[in-house]
Amino acid sequence: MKASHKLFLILLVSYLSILNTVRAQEIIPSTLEITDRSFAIITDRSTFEKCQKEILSYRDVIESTQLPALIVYHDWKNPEQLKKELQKLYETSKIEGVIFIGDIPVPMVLKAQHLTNVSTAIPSDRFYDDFELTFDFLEQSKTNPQLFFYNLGLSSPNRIKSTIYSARLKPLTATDKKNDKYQQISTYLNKAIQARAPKNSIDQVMSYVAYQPLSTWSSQSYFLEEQFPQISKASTQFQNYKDDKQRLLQDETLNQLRRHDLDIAFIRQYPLPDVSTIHPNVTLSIFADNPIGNFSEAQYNAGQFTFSKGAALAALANTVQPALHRHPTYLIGSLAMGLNIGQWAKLNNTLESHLFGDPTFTFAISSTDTLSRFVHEKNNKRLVEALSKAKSPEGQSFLLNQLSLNNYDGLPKLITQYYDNSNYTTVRYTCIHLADQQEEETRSALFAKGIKDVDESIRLEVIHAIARIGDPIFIPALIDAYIENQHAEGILSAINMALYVFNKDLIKNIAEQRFMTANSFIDQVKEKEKFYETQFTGIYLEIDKNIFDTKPDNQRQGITDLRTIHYHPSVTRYLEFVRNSKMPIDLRIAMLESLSCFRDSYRKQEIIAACKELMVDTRHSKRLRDEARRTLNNVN
Amino acid sequence: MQKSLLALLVLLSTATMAYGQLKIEKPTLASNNKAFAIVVDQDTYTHTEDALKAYQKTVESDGIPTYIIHGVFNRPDDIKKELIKLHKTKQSLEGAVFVGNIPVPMVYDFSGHVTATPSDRFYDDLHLNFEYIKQDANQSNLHYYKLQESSPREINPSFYSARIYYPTLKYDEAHEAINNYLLKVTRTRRDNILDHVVSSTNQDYYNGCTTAWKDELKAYKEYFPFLVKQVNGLQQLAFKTDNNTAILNELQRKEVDLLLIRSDSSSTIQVTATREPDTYPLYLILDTQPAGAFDNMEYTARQYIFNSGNTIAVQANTRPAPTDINFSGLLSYGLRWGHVHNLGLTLERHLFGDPTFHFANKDTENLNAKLSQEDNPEYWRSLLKKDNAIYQTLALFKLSSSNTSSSEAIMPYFENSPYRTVRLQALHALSIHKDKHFTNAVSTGLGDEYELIAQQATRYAGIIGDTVLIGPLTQAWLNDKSRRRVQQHVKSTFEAFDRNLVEKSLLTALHNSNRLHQETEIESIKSQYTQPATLESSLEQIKDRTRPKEERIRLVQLMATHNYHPGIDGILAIINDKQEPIELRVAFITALGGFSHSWKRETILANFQTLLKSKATKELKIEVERTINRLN
Repeated sequence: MKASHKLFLILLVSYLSILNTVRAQEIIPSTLEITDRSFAIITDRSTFEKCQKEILSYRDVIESTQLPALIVYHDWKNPEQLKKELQKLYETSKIEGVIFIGDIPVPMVLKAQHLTNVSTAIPSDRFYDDFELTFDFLEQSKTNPQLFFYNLGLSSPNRIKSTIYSARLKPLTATDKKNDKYQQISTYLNKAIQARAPKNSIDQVMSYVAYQPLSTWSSQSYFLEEQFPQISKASTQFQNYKDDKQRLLQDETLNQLRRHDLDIAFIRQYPLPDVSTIHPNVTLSIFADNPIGNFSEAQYNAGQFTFSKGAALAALANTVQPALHRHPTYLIGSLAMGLNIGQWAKLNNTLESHLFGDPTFTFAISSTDTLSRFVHEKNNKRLVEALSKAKSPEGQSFLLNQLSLNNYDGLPKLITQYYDNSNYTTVRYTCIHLADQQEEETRSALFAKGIKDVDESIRLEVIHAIARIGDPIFIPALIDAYIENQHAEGILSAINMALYVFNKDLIKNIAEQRFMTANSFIDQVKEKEKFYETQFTGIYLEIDKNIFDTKPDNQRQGITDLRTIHYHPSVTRYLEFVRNSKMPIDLRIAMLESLSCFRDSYRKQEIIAACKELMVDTRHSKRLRDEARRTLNNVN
Repeated sequence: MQKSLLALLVLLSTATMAYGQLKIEKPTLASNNKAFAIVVDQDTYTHTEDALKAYQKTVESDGIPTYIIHGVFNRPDDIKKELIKLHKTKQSLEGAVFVGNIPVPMVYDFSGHVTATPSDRFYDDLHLNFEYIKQDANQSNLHYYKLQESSPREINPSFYSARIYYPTLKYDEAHEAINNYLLKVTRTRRDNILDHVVSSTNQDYYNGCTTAWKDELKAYKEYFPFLVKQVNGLQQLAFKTDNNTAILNELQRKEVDLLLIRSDSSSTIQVTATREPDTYPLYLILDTQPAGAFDNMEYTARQYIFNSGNTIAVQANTRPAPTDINFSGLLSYGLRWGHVHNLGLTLERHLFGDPTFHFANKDTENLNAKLSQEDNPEYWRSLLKKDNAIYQTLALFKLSSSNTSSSEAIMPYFENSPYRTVRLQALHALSIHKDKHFTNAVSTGLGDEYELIAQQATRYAGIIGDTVLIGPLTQAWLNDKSRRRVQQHVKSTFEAFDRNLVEKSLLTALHNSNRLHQETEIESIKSQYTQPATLESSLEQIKDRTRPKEERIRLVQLMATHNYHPGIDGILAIINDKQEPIELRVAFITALGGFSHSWKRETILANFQTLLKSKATKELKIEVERTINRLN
């Protein structure tokens, strides 16, 4: 092709695409010049028309913080259409985050069992904000046309790493005419605008948990205190509820949520009552487990927070029961160092976690470290330099985490060094957390120290990781931890769960010797037997028995349990199960789905090899071959 | 010639001993350091002599010249006389240990209550003056004493003391036990770093307050800076109804240096007593039902030192009493356990085992020597300036107990110290001053981030009674619901204040709040405060002359026990009333002695001064003077 023809073609394509853009949606560019980043307000046409004044004011208030903001409105046909637009904006306008206001299609994600805790469809905006994930369209819901169902793509990455942050402002079904969905949005935006002045620093935090072992609670409280050092000046600044069986503090929690001076509320295991009567005023509420953020429902509870008559500004909540063993306040201290809520939430995203309300809200900086300029920093040298200067534990953790996101090759050395020398629990936690993704040598060395760490949350992190890896080399460390952690109930039950992934006889061999030489029991034999009694009973010992049973119901149960207990010793047998054409195809596929959760297994190479072989073996059905491809992708 | 003279002397001394005298063996170590005395009954001495000598050597090789005093002791005074003599010598005495069957002084409580407490303060606090009452009819080793009127009331030990006491009627068993114990001490190294600690408390200990439990962890971190940085460095047992097995297990761990057991339940201790296991933690602090009641043959503290494990000493109370652990940090620095034990000592607290023992010396200040020397405020002031929580805590204590520091000087440590243990000690130190700084500190302390400080502040608020504290108490009541123990204390502290003011404060606070069920809560407070409370009616009843004198006296005592400050003016009016029976007036004066920290203290004192100048009877004036002493 001649050069001139080529140019013409390019021009034509660009012209057509511009034309297409113009027809597709309206864009109101930012009034500020975009240099390194911007923010996009995404809405539907009718919301824009009805709430134009408020949306423009909201844009202005965002821009008053030097964050250029553009507005895009359109009657979105489907999620793909919007996602394309977002990707384009990312390229052209360097958007760092978005807010979805009004009627924005809701992606419902299936086949993501390895990323979450449930196997039902998950409402998830990761569809929009994680550009690397791929999805295969299934269908639009017939009962609720807002919902679009997708399978996670066959070759989609197997981890969440959002490219931009996102938040929802999705009104509730109107209960009266005066408060229709547009009115709700206008009211909220006015509230968000008012919330900007005066600048408010994080000095009032509350935490509620219904039941938790004392030492686990103590450790988690300690984390929050280290993350927000400014809340430890007076008792009322950190109201920390651990409720008991009588649940005497539930009503008090409601009073807390109503406090005008409360900056952050962190809630676990709380059966939220009718929020519409509470009128919460707390700036940011975080619901760690209870899935009150299911915005595929008309009256989702998180919406009751943002659209309440109170001053509550934002809520972080899950759309479904979240994955186990998350640390939902990881790096939250960065909120006091210049990160806006969206920037922080993005660091912690899972498939089901969602932010409701204004993601650009920023608390006043109340730390000696300022992190905003490192949010998009790709230059590792600069990050390492900043790290050497950072004084606050959360500043250090954040920078280590950024280096990890940038795949910095000096990270193993850094996290080892920081783990060994830091007196900050949260920093050591970050090192262990990041070690999980490192080469075996670094990881094992840090795990060996971490499982004996003074802090319970750190020990817990290691134990969960060991269960995912499943290498029998860790058994002695787990038995020792059992002996050493007699007073940490939470650790004991984690060890119990972790040991289910190992061969019973191997455990016994090691335990026999370890218990007999332990000097911490008055009656070693009795304690050993107590250990065996707990460890060698219960449903998770029956997994293989069920899987290789003759009744399909039992088999299905066993295969499902594998998602919770990754029983690594039988990987070979599981793969044979998949290959065995005499087995029902549904079960073989279910087995592949469960094996998708073995991403961190020390036997993952065997799964990969088997999947590669299955994928191309035409003796198997296409369904099975596709699933094998999917599993390969998920574990690889 | 010389030999035979010596033999004669020995013979003579043995002969005199039979007449109830005793023998003093001088230290073998020539040193200017203060001395230590091993006091042992003759029978035990005879059967454990070698072990005693070995023990003496051990203590001396640790730098303390050590006497052995043995003989037949009939009364506590026999021993005290000798201790006073040694204390008065130029070398003086830093401590003593009572080995074997040493008479037990039973001391009537300082406030004149009816029960006697076994207490070696009789021996080790030479400021206190006692009056002999009688020997126990059944247990001949118990001797009852009361404090003389002229005696000071505060405990201020002149040296430290401890017991190595194995009460039994089987003497052979006791001798063997003491022998083995002494040998255990001699072979145990004194350079063990305090790096493994275990703490156990049960739910009642904190009124079920989880925050109190959680907060203590940070205090432990201040006390024990040398803990190994691993999971087993500090084991804090969760409070459960039954920690028996857990504690028994912890007693087996050979690396444990210090085990703190604090609970209101004695069951664990009972279980240990029955099973009699070998125990390994070097030092145990027991704040449980009186594990240290050595007037009882079965006292449980002895279980821990007389076994084949590693335990060297136990601190326990002879009767229920609060245990302050705020000086535990000094153990980390290698201070002798006797020195640490003596800080903030009570009538009930006792040490069982070798009091000269210590962990590895990490101390750069030579505090072992400083604590046995004469008090030196200049030194403590300089120590206070070191950025070290443990040193500052000690300095604050020393300066406040000698009353050589102003509240202005202490206040910054309460207000600004990042150390919880230092702020706590500063609050205690301020309480000596009874001035506006103290009241201000209590007011701030109610909201301190360390739960124990807030809890102590509620206690102090009750004994001060200043109405300016109602506001801060109300705030704690309304905004600090996560602190269960403080909540309970605040509620009972309100009883010490004028009910109308409290009600008004609570209602205003609720009214200004944004609470969900505000109206219901307001109604509930109103109904709670419609009926007069017991103390309020007591005030009316003591004024009622138709009531029996005894009843009125009982009521005024009740008011004093509960720090009912609003009653003070009414009580004074009755005291001033010449028409009232003299016996009643005297009893009312005595009752006012309980208001030593009251914001009305000056009013009481002024009134008393007027009485002293008046034509009141001698009996009344004596009681007034006595009470003035208690108030000052």
